[in-house]
Amino acid sequence: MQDRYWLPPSQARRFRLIGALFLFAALVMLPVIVFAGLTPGAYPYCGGEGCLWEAKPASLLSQEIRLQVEATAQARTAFAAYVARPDVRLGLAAIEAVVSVPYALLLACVGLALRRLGAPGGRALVEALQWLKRASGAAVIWALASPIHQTLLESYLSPGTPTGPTLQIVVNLAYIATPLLLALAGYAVTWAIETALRKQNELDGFV
Amino acid sequence: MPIIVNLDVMLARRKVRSKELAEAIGITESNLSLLKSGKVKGIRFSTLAAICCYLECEPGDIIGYSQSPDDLHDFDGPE
Repeated sequence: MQDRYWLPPSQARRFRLIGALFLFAALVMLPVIVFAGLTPGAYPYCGGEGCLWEAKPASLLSQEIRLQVEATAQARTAFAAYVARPDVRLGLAAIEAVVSVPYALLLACVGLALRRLGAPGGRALVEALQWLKRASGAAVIWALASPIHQTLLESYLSPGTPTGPTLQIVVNLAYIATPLLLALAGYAVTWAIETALRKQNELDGFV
Repeated sequence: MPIIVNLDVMLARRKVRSKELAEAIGITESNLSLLKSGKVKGIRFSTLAAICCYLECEPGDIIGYSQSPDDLHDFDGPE
């Protein structure tokens, strides 16, 4: 029974492949963190000369403060000089890690769950569910990390803006609510299936 | 849990083989073997009724109980 697949072999192979893609995506988050520190506010810009990566650190700020920064050449230069400091870039990478690490964990846990579902063994489903439970936990942390990330980012960049060093608390419930609800729904579904499997195992002992 | 399964005794008394009983009541021989050895978590009323019907006996002829005070302490109550 140990080497039997829980899924048909072709489907199991597909699950393992998709799981590997998720794991790869999780690994990609590491360069994303480094990239956030090296080129803050980078985004792809496509024009007549093709697509280029353009770094615009002011895009990391809220609209109100961004307008203040871009209003005068002096403010723009001061902000660019502040963001160019190596310690600031290191800090920006660390702040990016606040959201990227839970997201990478979420991707890795989903990937491992899919890999486990596609692997042989009688306990494949039970073990996959455990990984999915961890994934929903990571999703909850990721959802809650989003306002912390934005607050840290704006407060950290504030010394380079005309407002000077300030604590900018940014909590946008609309951005938190949906991922949080989805993460909790995922956790509830996983928990329900796990409990049902446990009860089924108990009933299997009855003749 | 001191529940004693006396199915093998009843089978011997009625001169019925395990395979025959398993086929008659519609369970696998391995499950019947587990039941005989008491290595099951429980027995369904429908299984018990089928065994009693085939062997023409009472449930008490198949399962017994030996007193143990620990049973009261170990009991968590129904979920």
